[in-house]
Amino acid sequence: MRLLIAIIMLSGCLDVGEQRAKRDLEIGQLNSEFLSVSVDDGLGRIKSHTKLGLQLWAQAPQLSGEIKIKETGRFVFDLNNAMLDADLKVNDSGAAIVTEVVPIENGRPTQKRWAFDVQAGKTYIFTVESTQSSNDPWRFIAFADVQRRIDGVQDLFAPMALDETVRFALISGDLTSQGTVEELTRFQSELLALPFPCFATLGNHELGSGETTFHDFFGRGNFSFEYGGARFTLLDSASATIAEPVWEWLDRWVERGKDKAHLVMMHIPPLDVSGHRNGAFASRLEANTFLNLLERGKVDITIYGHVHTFAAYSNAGIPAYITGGGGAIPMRLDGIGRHFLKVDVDPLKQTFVPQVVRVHPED
Amino acid sequence: MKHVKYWILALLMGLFLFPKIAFGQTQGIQSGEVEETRTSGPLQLTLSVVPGVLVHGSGQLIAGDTSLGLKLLAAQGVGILGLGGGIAMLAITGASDQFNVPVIWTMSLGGAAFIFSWFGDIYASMGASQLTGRPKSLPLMEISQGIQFVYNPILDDGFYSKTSLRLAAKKWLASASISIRPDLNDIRSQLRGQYRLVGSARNSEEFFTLGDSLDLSLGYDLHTYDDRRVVSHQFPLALLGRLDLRNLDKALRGSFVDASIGLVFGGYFYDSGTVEYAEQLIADIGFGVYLGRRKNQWGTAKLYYRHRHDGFLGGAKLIGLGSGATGSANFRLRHSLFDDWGFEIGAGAGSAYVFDLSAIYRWGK
Repeated sequence: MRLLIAIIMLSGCLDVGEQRAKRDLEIGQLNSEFLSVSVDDGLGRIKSHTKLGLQLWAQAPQLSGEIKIKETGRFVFDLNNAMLDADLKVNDSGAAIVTEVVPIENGRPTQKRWAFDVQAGKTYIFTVESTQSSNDPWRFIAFADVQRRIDGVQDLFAPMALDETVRFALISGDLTSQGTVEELTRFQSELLALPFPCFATLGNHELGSGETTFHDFFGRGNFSFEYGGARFTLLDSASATIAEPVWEWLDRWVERGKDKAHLVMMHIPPLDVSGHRNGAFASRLEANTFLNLLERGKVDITIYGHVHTFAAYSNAGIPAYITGGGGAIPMRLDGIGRHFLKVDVDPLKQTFVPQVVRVHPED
Repeated sequence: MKHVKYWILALLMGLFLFPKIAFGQTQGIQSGEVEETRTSGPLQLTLSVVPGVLVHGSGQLIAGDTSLGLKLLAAQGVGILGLGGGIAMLAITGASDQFNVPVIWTMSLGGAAFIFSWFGDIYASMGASQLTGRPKSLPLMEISQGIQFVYNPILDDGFYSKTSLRLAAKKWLASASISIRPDLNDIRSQLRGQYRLVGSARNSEEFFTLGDSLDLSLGYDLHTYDDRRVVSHQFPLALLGRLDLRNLDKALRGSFVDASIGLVFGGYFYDSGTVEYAEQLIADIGFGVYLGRRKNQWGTAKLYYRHRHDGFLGGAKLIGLGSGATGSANFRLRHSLFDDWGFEIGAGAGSAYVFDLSAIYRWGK
């Protein structure tokens, strides 16, 4: 049997996405000669570090982890893609350390900096907190498929920024046309116009110039976090499948979200609203298995991209929405062009209610 | 959807009539006909591969058979037109629901022309018509029993028992197959009823034959996968066409191109009891050769693309722009061992790798 499988493996590739899943596990982990860092659940990408400095890109509203310092001095903690009310707390063996907010020259609302004193050889536990009641309704934004319209992405961001009730945005892939370093750099710089963070997973277009270039900018493709009484799970379905290691993580995330409002978001949907097109998982059998898992885990809503239109349908009885109106070549004759979704979360009722916001110009 | 049936008829008939109208060869296969070996050899074979991969018919053109070379080149042009036009239409319409079906069917038929024009050149350059067999009548009944191996890193892999039955009479064909893996309660069964709309080259009064044909097929596929709590009911409706490439040239005798277009209607039954409608597109293409030159020998070897995304195989997992929409690549070989006995080997690569090996028994010539 092993010989047969070995022969099979030589003849082609079924493990697309596995390399990216392995890369996920490296996100937020650092063990250099100056510094050791571990961000819990890989929810922050380490952009840079020095002996006494760390710069993270957040992939969730709240972060936690530990930093092992090897030099005594004043440590500078930079956080990009941060919540407006992000607050850093640091403790040393349970004792709180005083942190100082450091203003950033020409800094944007989502860029935060703190400083605190550290001693060599000690390990510090940090948490970045953001307050959102688990009893009150709140709002986030979902969008996808900007691709070639990066020059017009501010047409989307401007109306998003006007809504002061929005806590963060989620993008389910195809931020760029080819996923090049230049395109990803540009997208990240455009995000600075938003007064709230944007947490991203990747789409098939991000794979145009390397499997894990996206990870070098945004962090994990598969991740899950809780905020405001709800769970958010973003998955990497950019190769029309869920990679084998991710199924085990998904089991855990689904279990954790069972008693909460739970959103699952990814780029390529398990099943396309139009089966003829099959802008969906490559295997229907895998799609059915995946949806059964979500259904058993009482997932409340699924949001996808990839198809350049808006569609509301149902998969395994779970409400499903496609929002692919970020600017890629629009689907014709569907009556809708560029758009994004505002989604109202009611944690007590465990509901998500999306509302379409059209963007002008639509094409 | 109102005009879909006209698209089907026009496209499929176009594909099958094209070589006859364009090249004026309308005769069927004459038994006992002697082939010529005009343009085969190692040089021609090499040229048919490179630069033949880019300019179909190169092997024949450079070797001096301009007639066949130009026909293959023209078929490549038709293929590029179908494929390129389809891709352009998808881009222009943004893969619009209103256009997807005819556009993908057009691409499929274009793909068939593109594939056979290249493989045909290689075939002719090998002088393969000297080696391959001829279309034969199907028997009244054929049964097969074998094993199927599925390798799927996401779901389960392992061995299945596979049993098939096929009945053919006059213009009708019925078939049934079932693959079972008892430890997972994984059962996939398929029923097909097929009617020949456009007849075969010979013996059509008796049984199905494997010459030029256009069939209408209606089926039912049931997949119960208890271990994963998935039940799928699918009803495929398709037009299946086969063009014997002898129509293009004697040097292509013994080879054929297949194209199928159609729709699959059905539904999924989930764990919770939720039932949801699901549809798929059939847009399959293949290139094959007949095997068995003696009267009592039979068989085919076929490379084909299957566009469906269900079953053990699913579609191909690709990195990048083709993700999701692409189907699977397959190979199937059937050959006689003795008069009524033979074997079948199949291999497919999609979201899984699927292999099968069966013994075949035929009855009723």
